[in-house]
Amino acid sequence: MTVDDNPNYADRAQSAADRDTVGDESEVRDPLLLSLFDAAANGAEQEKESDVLAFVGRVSESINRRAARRRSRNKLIGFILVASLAVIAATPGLFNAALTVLLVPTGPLIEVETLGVVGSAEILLVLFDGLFAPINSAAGLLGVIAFFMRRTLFRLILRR
Amino acid sequence: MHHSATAEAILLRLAQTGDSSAFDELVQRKQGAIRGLLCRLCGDSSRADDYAQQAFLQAWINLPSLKTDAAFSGWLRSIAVRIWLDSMRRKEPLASGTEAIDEDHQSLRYTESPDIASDIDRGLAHLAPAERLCIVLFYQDRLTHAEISEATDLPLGTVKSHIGRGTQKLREVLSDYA
Repeated sequence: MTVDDNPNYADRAQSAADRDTVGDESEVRDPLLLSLFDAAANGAEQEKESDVLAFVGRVSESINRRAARRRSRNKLIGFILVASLAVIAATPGLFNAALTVLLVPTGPLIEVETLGVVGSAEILLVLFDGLFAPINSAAGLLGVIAFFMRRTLFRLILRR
Repeated sequence: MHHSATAEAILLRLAQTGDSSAFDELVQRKQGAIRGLLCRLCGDSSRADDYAQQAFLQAWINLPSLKTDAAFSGWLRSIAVRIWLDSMRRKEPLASGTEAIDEDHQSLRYTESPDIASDIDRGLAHLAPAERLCIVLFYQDRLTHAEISEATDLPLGTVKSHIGRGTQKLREVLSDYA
């Protein structure tokens, strides 16, 4: 049986053809509505120049406001970033200082328990040094680079 | 820099690099179409201006992502339509075209042939938002069904039925003009 012999296929083909025809006809615009929309639009073309300029100014102002908001937000992010780097850089030193202060009155062999880890204060001191020394160096290096490249960085961040 | 005689493609390129004066010129050229479309959709010119302002701001933000210069007008229209559809989802009521004049925004009003325009707005107020959108794009912006479907993300068949039903309802409301 061919497609043409099958009544279902024929029906489907016919309804598809009908759909296309209806689609083409539905693209035709109602003349009355078209003329009314045209008449309304002709009135709109006579808009005042001052009105147009005021609107352009309004858009321009909103763009500038947004740019100013972004600038202050990015500055805040920049300061938070620098402050975080400073804290990271200073943290091992602070831990070292705290543990040294702890060791002075209690002696080097006292058992301390920090976050569930039990060991001597000296071991902790070595652990902190081992853990934070690379971070400390990296943060310091990044801080120095960020300081010297701050203008470029801000330009990149504030480009828009 | 003054850009009044510069071609749109060049203005677009300049605006994409962050040249705000080029974008101002684009706003000046396109504001009539966008404000006109939104005015018809909202039936309220001051709200239409607010939405148009949002549309241009979004266009400025997303301009670097626009790949084809020729698509700018359609792209801008889609942004405006999306903003209006979002406002509809937030259930902001449609005006019936008879709103009082807002003194603060009077200078920014989109001016139209008042009687016919307000009659059309009154007629459009009888339509469901999706019908209203399709009818305005079909009759005012002269888009084809396929273009409307693309601009609104509505299926082609839905666009056709909205236009069919909308035309019928609008004709009944505006039958005095026949």
